[in-house]
Amino acid sequence: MKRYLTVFRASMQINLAYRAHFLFLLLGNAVFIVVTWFLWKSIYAGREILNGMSFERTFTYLSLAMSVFVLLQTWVEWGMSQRIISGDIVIDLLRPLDYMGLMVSDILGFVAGNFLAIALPSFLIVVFAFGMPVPLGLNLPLCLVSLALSFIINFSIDFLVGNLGFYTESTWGISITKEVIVLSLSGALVPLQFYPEAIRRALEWLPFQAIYSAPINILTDGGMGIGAMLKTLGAQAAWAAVLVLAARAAFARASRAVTVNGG
Amino acid sequence: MKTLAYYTRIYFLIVSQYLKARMQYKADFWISSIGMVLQCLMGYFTLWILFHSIPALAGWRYEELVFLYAFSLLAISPASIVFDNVWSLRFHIQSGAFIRYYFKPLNMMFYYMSEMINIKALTQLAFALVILATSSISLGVRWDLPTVLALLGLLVSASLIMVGLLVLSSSAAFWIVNSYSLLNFFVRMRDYARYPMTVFTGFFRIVFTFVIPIGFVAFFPSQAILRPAEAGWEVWLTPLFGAGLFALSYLVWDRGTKAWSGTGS
Amino acid sequence: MPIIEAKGLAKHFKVLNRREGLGGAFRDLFSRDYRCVKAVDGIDLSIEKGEIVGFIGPNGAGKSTTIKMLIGVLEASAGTVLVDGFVPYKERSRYVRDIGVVLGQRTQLWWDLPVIESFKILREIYRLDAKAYEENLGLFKELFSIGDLLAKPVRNLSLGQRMLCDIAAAFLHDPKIIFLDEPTIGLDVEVRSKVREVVKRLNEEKGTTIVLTSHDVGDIEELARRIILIDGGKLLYDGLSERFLGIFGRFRTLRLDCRALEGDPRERISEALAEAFPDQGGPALGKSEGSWLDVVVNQDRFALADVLSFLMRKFSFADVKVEEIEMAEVIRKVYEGALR
Repeated sequence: MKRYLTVFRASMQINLAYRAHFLFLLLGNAVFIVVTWFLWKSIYAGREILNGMSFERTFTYLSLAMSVFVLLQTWVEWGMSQRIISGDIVIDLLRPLDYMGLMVSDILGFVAGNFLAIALPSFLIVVFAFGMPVPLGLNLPLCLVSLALSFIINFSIDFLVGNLGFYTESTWGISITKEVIVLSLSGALVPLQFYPEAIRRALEWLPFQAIYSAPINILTDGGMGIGAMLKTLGAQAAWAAVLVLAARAAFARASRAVTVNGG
Repeated sequence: MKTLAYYTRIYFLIVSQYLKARMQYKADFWISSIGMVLQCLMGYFTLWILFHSIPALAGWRYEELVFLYAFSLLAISPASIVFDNVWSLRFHIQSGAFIRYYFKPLNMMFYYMSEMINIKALTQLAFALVILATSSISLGVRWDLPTVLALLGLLVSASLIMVGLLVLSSSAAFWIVNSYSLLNFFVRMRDYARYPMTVFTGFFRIVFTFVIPIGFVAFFPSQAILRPAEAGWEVWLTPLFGAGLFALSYLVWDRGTKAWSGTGS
Repeated sequence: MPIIEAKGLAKHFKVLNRREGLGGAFRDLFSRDYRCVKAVDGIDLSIEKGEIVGFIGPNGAGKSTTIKMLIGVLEASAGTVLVDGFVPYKERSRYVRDIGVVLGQRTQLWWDLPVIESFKILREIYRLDAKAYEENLGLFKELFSIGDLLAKPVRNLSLGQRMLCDIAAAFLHDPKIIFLDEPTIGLDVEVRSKVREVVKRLNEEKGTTIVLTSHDVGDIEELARRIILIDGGKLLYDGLSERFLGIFGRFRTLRLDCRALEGDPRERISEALAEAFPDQGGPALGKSEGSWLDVVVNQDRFALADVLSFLMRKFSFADVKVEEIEMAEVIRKVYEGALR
């Protein structure tokens, strides 16, 4: 027990060193939430419902979606790109460790920090400062499961994109394109209900909204029964499995070129 | 004699050489430019989608908001294009590579910023000019001499605000090791310049006008051009904020260079 | 009138005492506890125009800090410093016009550009007239044989080639003083000697004052007529390098690989040496690194071959190397009074 306390103490000390870092990320997110509130209040301009969504629902959704985005933002594709460009990737490939697993365990602590320092406080701000109703029940732990699956989906996409680093040095272009696609197609900036019907239906076939709407709906949609929640989790799990396999396959293929040709 | 001509000549020489060297990386140029265009389009698309459901935002119509968006991108452009090297500052500081900037008879900020120009931001500039043109045509803006001069003057002021904020937030690298979050914070604030300040009320109105002065970056200038009757005293503050913020950022940068070399690596 | 003059030069740093433990980390947030470190503690310097002076000393002991104050990057905490008539820190931009700096580890050229383009930019920056520029360029091409290198981007050059180009770039505007910081670090023997030759020639041709810092005894031997040793923030020696090297140049380090010997052989070897060579100043143990142990021998008093054969008869070493004396050993001997 004492050993765990020591480890905990040590990691807390490290966290204190990063306090400024988390403070600004949290502040940035808090400002976003405030801006979102004002902006959408103006957009609604007193109207009750827009495209089937109330102001409360829209505001809650967009605020939480951005919080999830910040939570999951790990810049994995940047890290991979740098190591590929510098050639250090060869060291990683030579290790008898699974590269993807290595990356996951590397950033898991970081994401946990993000959760405690940014996502959780943001959620509390939305609920208490703005008085948004959130049901309390089984949806809370299931939401955490959903977030874990969101992490896997998002990470796999980042990892897939990171593989492009084997083919080009243009990291920024790739990363921003990925970000634009993920944000637009997942309804994180404007809820999907505002999109034309046809596009919306097409987007539901893509994994992007599975990252954001799944955990948020589970958390906030009072009308969602256990069955519906489990169905959502199931869909996420399916996407997670597909994307993990795709990412691993892409990596195996891309890295083979390096090991065969030698950097 | 450090004249403007001297610095212009040197800047031209360094930048033209830099462009020549970068032009070899054709793939990077295209991928970055496409990424940039996509990012701009995302902002544009967000507006477009929104206005399928509403007729106006805080009393501002679609074309006016496009104009506002264009103006904000134009204001960001000089900072993006010329001062982009600040993003590398924390790496140069941590590795000690920054020391080389002390050894030439050049202003250090000039020397540091001249090392690279952000080519993809030129794409953003082009995009902004296009939508500024189209929206101003839709709005029937009369580009007579006073209006053009006002636009240019306000753009210069707004750009100075953006440059000032960028340099300020990156200068933290001289003192703090993990300063990325401050720059990140600034970039997020920058995105809000495209919204009308009238959506904010009370306390936050004051914050976004005077504390994080993004109101002066696009809204008040655009208001002056599109709705001169509505424009108030804020417009006249724009150049003041521009000059003031830029001066402040330069002072902080200068202090930073003295502080960092003082800790000696 | 010396070109570099410093009196009582000192530099103090405030260093944060980081408190230990979690509680300490919290207390650090509210009150900060500093201690004062004297990196440079009262140094007097006087360097004449055209001299080549070698600064030596261990890392972190005030040598680099002193140089930085001369270059103008650091402000002195106390004392005065005048270089070329300027107070370096106060008038950086104007002062820097007449100096050149070469840092061993880093290039000052533009990384992606061909070398000649860097030179052209420098020509603009220093406002060189065409004649002076062309003359220097010709001189460098001849001296350094860098003619074929000029069209290459700096990132494609080898370390040695880059160093030569950096030196050329530093001399391009005919500065009065050049600061060379570890110019031969990481270079192979051939290039190292080329660099030294080039610096010596340029000093002769142009009369440039050269301030050299180096850990390499060979650099000092070939280039610096005068040595300044700085350790613990103080000036320990300021005089002719010939005399200095005369004392230490005759020392050799025997590096012995002790991996085949049992246990910790240091005491046994030390005793054996004391027995066989009982006089003062006999072969003594130096540092040990991994399985290697150093034995320092003064060749003026003992034949290296005698010491070596004695040791090899008594102990079976896996390998033996003979090297110059190391800077750290030199410092130790200075403290032990070798200079008196």
